[in-house]
Amino acid sequence: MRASNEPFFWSMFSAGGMVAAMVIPALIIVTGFLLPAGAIGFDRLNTVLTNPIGRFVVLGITFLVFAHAAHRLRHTMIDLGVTQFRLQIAVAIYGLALGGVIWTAIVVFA
Amino acid sequence: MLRELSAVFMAVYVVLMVIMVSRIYEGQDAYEDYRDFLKSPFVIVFHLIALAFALLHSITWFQAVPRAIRIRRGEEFVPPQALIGTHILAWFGISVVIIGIFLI
Amino acid sequence: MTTAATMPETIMIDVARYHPEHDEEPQYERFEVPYRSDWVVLDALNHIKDQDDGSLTYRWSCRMGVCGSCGMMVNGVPVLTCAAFLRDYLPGPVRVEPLAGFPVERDLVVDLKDFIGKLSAVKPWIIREEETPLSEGEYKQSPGQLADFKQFSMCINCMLCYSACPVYQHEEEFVGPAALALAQRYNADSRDEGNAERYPLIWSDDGIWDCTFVGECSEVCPKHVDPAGAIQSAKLESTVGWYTSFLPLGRKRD
Repeated sequence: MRASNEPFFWSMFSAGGMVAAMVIPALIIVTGFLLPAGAIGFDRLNTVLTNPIGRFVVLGITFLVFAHAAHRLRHTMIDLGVTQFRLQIAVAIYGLALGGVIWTAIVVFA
Repeated sequence: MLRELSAVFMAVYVVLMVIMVSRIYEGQDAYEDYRDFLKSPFVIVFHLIALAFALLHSITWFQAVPRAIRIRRGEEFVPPQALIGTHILAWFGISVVIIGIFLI
Repeated sequence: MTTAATMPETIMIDVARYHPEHDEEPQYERFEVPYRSDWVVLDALNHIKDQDDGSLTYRWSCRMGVCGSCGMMVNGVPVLTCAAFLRDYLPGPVRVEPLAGFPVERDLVVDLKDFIGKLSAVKPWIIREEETPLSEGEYKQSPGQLADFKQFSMCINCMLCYSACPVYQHEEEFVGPAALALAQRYNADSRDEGNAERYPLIWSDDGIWDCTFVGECSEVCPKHVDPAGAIQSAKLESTVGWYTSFLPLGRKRD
């Protein structure tokens, strides 16, 4: 029996699921509603997001949520019966997630 | 299947969030343009749907925790409700902190 | 509850029939059986076999939810037919089919070979590095140590979880919910020393990692074993094992 590499992907999926569960609803309230409503000023946003900790947090959340979503999407497709081209689908989905993380890293640190 | 779909909505939301961050780094004018985009009804509706899915994810996720983590004290297991409750308390605390960081 | 005024006299049962020597594929046959509020689907099948067609073929034994023989699909859901009351399927008709995901031998009887093979593959017995002689007494266990695996030991091998599992329907090699829960039962047993012998199979891609935690297995389990939870616990153990395998003193990967 070949040892599985799923533990790595599953641990990222789990960490991402937990972080998403803890922070995403609050973040949606902030950026989806409070921000367009004008409750938060530009200066405050700028202070929080240009702070080195803020930059790392943005990148960390992005990485974990993308890893979570990619893993869930991949397995849900198999559950729904898309059982062919598994490797290609996995490469495409995880590749998309990795691309998103790289893009975020460029945004945050460039 | 709605539970699984929540991941897609959260990922799309994160994309919007990163765009917002990049606009803020570009300066106040770029940010104000993006804020106009956020004010459009279509985007508000998207955020409402995304929030509903995110809440669904949070609740189903916390409910699943005691299935994987079984903590035994003596002869009894820590009741699932206690584990779920602890996570929900932490969730409220973290949410207050996040909203607080931006509002204060 | 149905009141006496609306209680029907009879109820229709659509039974999947398949005779491997005549039939290309299963066909449905409709039977009308007397309705009794305290009858279960198995009673209706027994009535059909007794009164209408003695050739109807199905498994059953204890009639009290202990033996695990009478599992079938009733209106598309895997259940023990001895515990599925007709009154919950009013007004009918009730569709009875063999358990999904298994080859059909005849009518409502499925082939158990795949399941039995997977059960024994997880080595569901206590493995000791060295057997202690009987003269030294029994292997002692505290009530707490018993609690660690008791829930997983309630399985009656009825296979409802396999029929409910969407993964098993298209992954023939998947070890499956009951066998993985049973592996967890022995791995969590303080008297057992065989974890390392079970890990290669249950930690493989055909073991726990085929599971996507849909959770249907636990929904249909008549004994509340929670195989989905057992598999989640095993995933956690396997993940810890995977990361520690990179440490100098960690368990090496196979």
